[in-house]
Amino acid sequence: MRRATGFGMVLLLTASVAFAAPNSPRRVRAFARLPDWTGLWETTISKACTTASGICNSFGTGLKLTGHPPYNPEWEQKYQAALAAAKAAGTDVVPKGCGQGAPDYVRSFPNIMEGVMIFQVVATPEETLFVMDHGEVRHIYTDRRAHPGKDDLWPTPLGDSIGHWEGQTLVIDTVARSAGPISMFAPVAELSEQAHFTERVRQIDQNNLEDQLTIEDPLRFVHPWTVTLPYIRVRDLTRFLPYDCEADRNPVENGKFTIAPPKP
Amino acid sequence: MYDAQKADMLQGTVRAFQWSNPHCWIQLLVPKDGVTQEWSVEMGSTAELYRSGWRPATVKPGDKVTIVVHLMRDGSAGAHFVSAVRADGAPLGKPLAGNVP
Repeated sequence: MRRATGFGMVLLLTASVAFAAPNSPRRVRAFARLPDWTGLWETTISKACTTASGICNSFGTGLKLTGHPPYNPEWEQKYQAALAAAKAAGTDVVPKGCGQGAPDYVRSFPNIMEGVMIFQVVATPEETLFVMDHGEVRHIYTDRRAHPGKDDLWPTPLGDSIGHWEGQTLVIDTVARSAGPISMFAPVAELSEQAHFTERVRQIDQNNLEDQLTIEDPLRFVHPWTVTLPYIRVRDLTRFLPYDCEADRNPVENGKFTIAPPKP
Repeated sequence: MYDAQKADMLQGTVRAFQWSNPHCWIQLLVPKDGVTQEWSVEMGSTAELYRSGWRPATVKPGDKVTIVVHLMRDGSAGAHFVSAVRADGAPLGKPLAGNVP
């Protein structure tokens, strides 16, 4: 019995030491090479919409993902028809961001990289996380893995992302993003599931990050489409304030927003 | 939903301040012609309010406030918040201009 207890203690001690082991010198060096993007960042539209009313003063420096995608003739025709139909039906407006009646694509990439969003970037040697205040987390694997094989990959709203560092620039490669609108601010411009995204994220100065995003869609585009998405350091918050939809009171009825009474 | 081209004013007593996401709300009791009607005034998210100087206890039930709003187009008792002052004229939160990037 005593021997068994002693053996258990040795196991416990070994496990504790293993959990408490410091990072290897190699991992410490890998950490040290990473840029320090600590803190909170926001999109320019988030900055512009920071009012007690939630009414945006402007669209910041202008939305980039709402531009005209370089569609091939077939998809340009479909795009123009969808645009005209949406305008005629009065549905070419910004959809709900969350809650009842909100479409799934408002939580998809690349829309979340330009939405009303505050985020944190957590960089480790193995992966970088983009943690968005609306709850989405982008996992960018930087451990030299490839995308999963065909049988292990299926379309999702955020797609599958791998990346590598070129100096202080994070280069991200994303595939398998669900087909659908590029931006919630221009919901008729859609991508296919074959779309391929390349991002180059870098810090410009102490208060500015940028994401140079190139979208290729072999089924719909005639050439790659590149936009640069700017981000600003959040100076007036010292902690992450998560966003949720628990108390949504704007159900959509017959295509129109309404107000639900408060819960008792 | 709201008529953003026109600003109106609601003067009344706060019944409840709902500090919540995706939006905060003020339930305001507004007397008119001897009848009191409850209005739902929609605001921004908790983060937007927090960064605009608001806190969960900024207004409490019983507070007298005047709120500048955009009214619902359908005429129902709903409105979108623009700005507000207390009965003594003190503004609630930071001035709007302070948030322009």
